Order: sequence, then structure tokens, then C-alpha cells
Amino acid sequence: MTEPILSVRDLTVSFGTRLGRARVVNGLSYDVEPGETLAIVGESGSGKSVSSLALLQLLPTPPARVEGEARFHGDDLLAMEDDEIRSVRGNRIAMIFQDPMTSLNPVRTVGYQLIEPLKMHMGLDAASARNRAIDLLDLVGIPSAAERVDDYPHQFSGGMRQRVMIAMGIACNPDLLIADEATTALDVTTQAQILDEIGRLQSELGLSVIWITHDLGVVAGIADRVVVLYGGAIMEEAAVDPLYEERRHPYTRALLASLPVPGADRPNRLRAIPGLPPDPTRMPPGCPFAPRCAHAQESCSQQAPELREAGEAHLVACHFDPEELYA
Amino acid sequence: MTGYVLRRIGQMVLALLGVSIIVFALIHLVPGDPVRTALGTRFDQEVYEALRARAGLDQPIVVQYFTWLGNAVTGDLGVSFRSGVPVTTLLLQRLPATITLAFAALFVALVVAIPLGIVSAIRSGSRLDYAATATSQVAVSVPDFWAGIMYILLFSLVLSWLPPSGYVSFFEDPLEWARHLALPALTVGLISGSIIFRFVRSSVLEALNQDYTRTARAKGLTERQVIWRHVMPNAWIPIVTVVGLQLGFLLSGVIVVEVIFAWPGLGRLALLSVQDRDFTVLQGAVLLIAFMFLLINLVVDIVYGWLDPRVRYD
Repeated sequence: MTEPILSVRDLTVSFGTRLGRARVVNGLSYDVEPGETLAIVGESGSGKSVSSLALLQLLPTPPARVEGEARFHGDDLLAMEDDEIRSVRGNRIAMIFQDPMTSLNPVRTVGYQLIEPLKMHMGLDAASARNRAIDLLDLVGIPSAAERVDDYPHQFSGGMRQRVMIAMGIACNPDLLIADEATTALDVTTQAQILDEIGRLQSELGLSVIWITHDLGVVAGIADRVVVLYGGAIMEEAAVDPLYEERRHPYTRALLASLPVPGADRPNRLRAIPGLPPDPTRMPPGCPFAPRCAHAQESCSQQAPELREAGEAHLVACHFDPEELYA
Repeated sequence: MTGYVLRRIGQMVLALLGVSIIVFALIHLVPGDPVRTALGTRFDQEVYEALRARAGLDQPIVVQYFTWLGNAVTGDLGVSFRSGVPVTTLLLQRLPATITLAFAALFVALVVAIPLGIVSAIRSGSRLDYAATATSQVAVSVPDFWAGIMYILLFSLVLSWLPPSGYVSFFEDPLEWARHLALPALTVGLISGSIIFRFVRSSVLEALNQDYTRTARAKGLTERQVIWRHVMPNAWIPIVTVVGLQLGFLLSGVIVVEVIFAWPGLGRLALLSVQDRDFTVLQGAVLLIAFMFLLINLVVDIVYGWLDPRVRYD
């Protein structure tokens, strides 16, 4: 067993609001192994983006308060001083964001934006940084990279811009890439290309990826392991195949059931999960999913279930076994 | 970029032509006969007719317009009815004072507004931000004539540091030039500065909250680099617009302040020419002011194209 490159323990993120403290991430713990792709899945407001921004200290504090530990190669990211965390950002851990249309600076050329981390972290001079920027654009599949390096973001399509973001992400050969809804804003064919691209780069460069998404279709295609997040806490964690097959947690089950199935009876409506995610300023005392759970019992709304082992490397936060629930 | 600039210059010429028609039409539609005003109550009808003919006022209005326009292009804006001095000479006498005051006021405004606006945005919600925002609110609300009088009372009458009014050319005496300039520049500059401050603060704040700023931080740049390389280049774009508008406003004559400080600028000249129905002077002054306004707009647009690559390729 190798050492995980990232080990998150009891990560808690809360925000001070007028209605009291909003607890957006509640005691999140997970590991990322070298070279693996971990998918963090959840609906809007489940705390998936916030938890990843917190890792790199990218949340403004205050209003945010971040507690817990995130050991990256043994060093706690959350305890790092400003200059320490800056030497990790974009260098050893890179992040790609959701919207490629707004994530690049409109008044700087893509070359300028690519060269910045190269100069900053690798100490390259202007000429070699520029050459590396062109190589990177080439690597992520941008045609005639040498000419396009001096273009501005608005001269690229959405998919091409996301490729630029990826190039920026891998510029300094990071160990870990965090992709936050990186393909959500793209059309399906572009999405597939980007996913392929990241998969290829991952096998070439051996980097680990945290893939944050609400798209279970994408997860099935690329992830090794999946963490299902709800109300800022893990509901279920397993390797991708057992998770999809066993669907131990009622939330996982409901999420997968809400996907459209081709060929199913067409007049059937999608099986949406009734209700809304919990208000983070008023988290229910028991299981966060209990108010929306079709199988909830009285104990569910009183006592929060612990995350427990339910099979080989399969964790689930539910009081019940599937056999009891889905008989 | 060259095509963009040429196109903008073409637009400016058209706009200027439009302004000239409006100015000419408005002044000729306003009741009141300049020749009669110049001659007083008792006059000879023949002299009156002769003067009208000399000024071309007996011609059809369209002919008058084209004559005036043709002369204006060559720099001849006619002769003042009141004093008989060429309008161009009058305007050129007044222009240095106006330009001096406008740029001095803008200097005061920018020195106050830009650093304070940036710091307020970066530390939004801090005490400094609240204090600066509240002060700017007060400064915008206080009328310029009242502020001007208060400065005169304080700095001239009580403290006797600065002269209360008047204008001295820089080439005559640079020290006195500065001493006379200080109070009017402060009066107008602080008002302009308050307006500019609010724009600086809000556009920096907006850029700070953009996704690309988060990207820049996620790259590992220092906060200083994030602000100067990524936030400010975007924030300048709206700031340039408001600075251009403010400069246009300052150049078009801050009439009230010119009157309070006995500042011999274009605004006061225009005001006097209205009182005297000296419409050749008024036409010339308005045309000159419009020209300066359009020129500033042109400069703003060129700066825009330089700051924002998306504009250049449209």
C-alpha cells in the first residue's frame, strides 16, 4: 500500500452569516492515492467546491472558517503560511474551474497567463517559459500553438479555453489536479475530448486527479473511486463499480435513479428526489438526508449515522444495510 | 487598431458637424437681436441695417450657417458684437486658464481617488473603507459654490495662506500661479475625486470577485501580483470612462467656481456672452467646448482599445 498523496481529515468549513454559522462542509475525510482519480459527487450546495477551495486556502477568511487537516505529502495544507501555500498552488496542486469563459483573464494573452506560473514556480526565463507555454498548448491539443500563444481568451472557443486552463493546470507538473466541474459548461462532444485529454495526461504524467462534479455519467467514465457528498458530509465512498452496482446509500440510489435511462418507458418522468438540500444554517440533527429519504425511520432524524465499513473499501453513512431497506 | 482609430476620428468629425448645426440653430432661434443689444436703446435705423449687413444677418439662415462653418474651419469664428475683438482671440485668451484649472482639478481628483478607491476595494468592509465612502458621499453632496466660499474663508481670510481669487499665468510667476490655482483646483477636484473614487472602488471590487482573479490566486501568485497583473488591468476600463467624462466636465467650464474665484476661463466667457447676447462669442465657446469634449471621448476610446483587446477587433 502506497502513501496517499493527499489525506484530508475532519475538514469542516463554515461561514458566518446573519442567520448564524452556516456549516457547509462537516467533518469530511478522504484520501487520494498517487495516480488515481477520485470523484467527489454531489448536487449544488453539497459542499464539494467549497471543500476543494478550502484545501488551497482560496476561501476568504473571514467569512469562512476552515478547520481540520489536509496532509499533502505529509504537510498540512491548512496550517501553511501564505508563502508556503502559494508555492503549492499552481505548482504541486493545480485547479481547473467550471467556467472557461470567465476563468481566464480577458485582457491578458493566453501566453501571458500560461507563462506566469512557469516563471513563478519553475524559475524559467521569459524565452524558455514561452517555449514551454507553446509546448503545453500543443500537448493539450491546441492546433498551431505557436501562433495562438499570443491570442486573447475571447479568440478561443469554450472547449479551447478549457484546454488552455488544463495547460495552465499541468504547467508545473503538479502531483494533484483538482478539476471543479471542469466540463460542466461544455457541450457533450467537447466534454468527451477534454475527459480523454485529462486521462491521457494522467497516464503520461502520473498525476492524481480530484474530479468534482454532479454528473454521474462522467464519473462512471473516468473515476477510480467515488465519494458521494451530501450536506457537507460523505454518504458513501467506494470504488466506482461497486458503488454503481450496490448503491448502498439511499442517496446514491436516488441520485442514480434520477438519471434518464434510454429505452425506458418514455412517458415516465425522471425520478427526481423530492425536497431541497438542507439549509446549512439549520442542519438537521440526525442524518442530513433523512428529511428527503424515502426509507427514513424515526432514528434517522435523531442520530447521525457514522461512516462505517460495509464491504471491501466500501464506506457508507447509513444506519441500515441495503438488504433491510430495499427488500 | 489603426482602422479603429480612423473610424473613431471619422465619427468625431460627423459629431462635430452635428454639434455645429445644433449650436447655430439654437442661438438663432433664441429671441433677442445682438445688433440692437449692442447699439442700446436709441439708434439710427441706417446704422442698424448696415451693421446687420456687415454681420451677414440679412442673409438667409442657411447661407449664414455655411458662411460661419466655412470660416470656422479656417479658425475664424467671427467678431464679438460687444467688443469687436475676433472670437478666436477671445477664446484663446481664456483657454489657458480653463485648461490649467481642469488638469489641476483632475490631478487633485486622481491623486485622492485612485489610491483610496483601490485600497477601499481591497479592504472592503474595513473602517477605512467606511470612512472613505462616507466622506466621498459628503463631498459629492456639498455644492461647489459653498465649498469654494468655505475654502476662501478658511485659507484666505482666517489663515491668510492663499489668495482668495484671480489668475496668474505660469510664465509670469510660477509660484503665484500655483498659489492662485490651489483653491479652485481643490474645490472642483475634491468633487470630481469623490465621483471617481466611487467608480474606482466599485470596479476594483467587481474585478476582485471575478473567476479569473480566483484563477490567478490558484496559480500561486502573490496578492500584489494578482492585483496589479489581473485585477487592475480589468478595473481600469470603466475607470477611464468616468475620468474622461469628468475631464470633459472640467474643461467645459466649471462656471460657478470660475465666478467665485474670478477665474478667467471659458465658462465665465460663455456666461458673459449669454448676458450680452454676444452670440458669435457664445457659438464659438460652445463649439470649442464641444470639440474638446469629443476630443477627450476620442482619447478615451483609443485608450479603451489599448486596454481591452476585445474592443480592437470588433
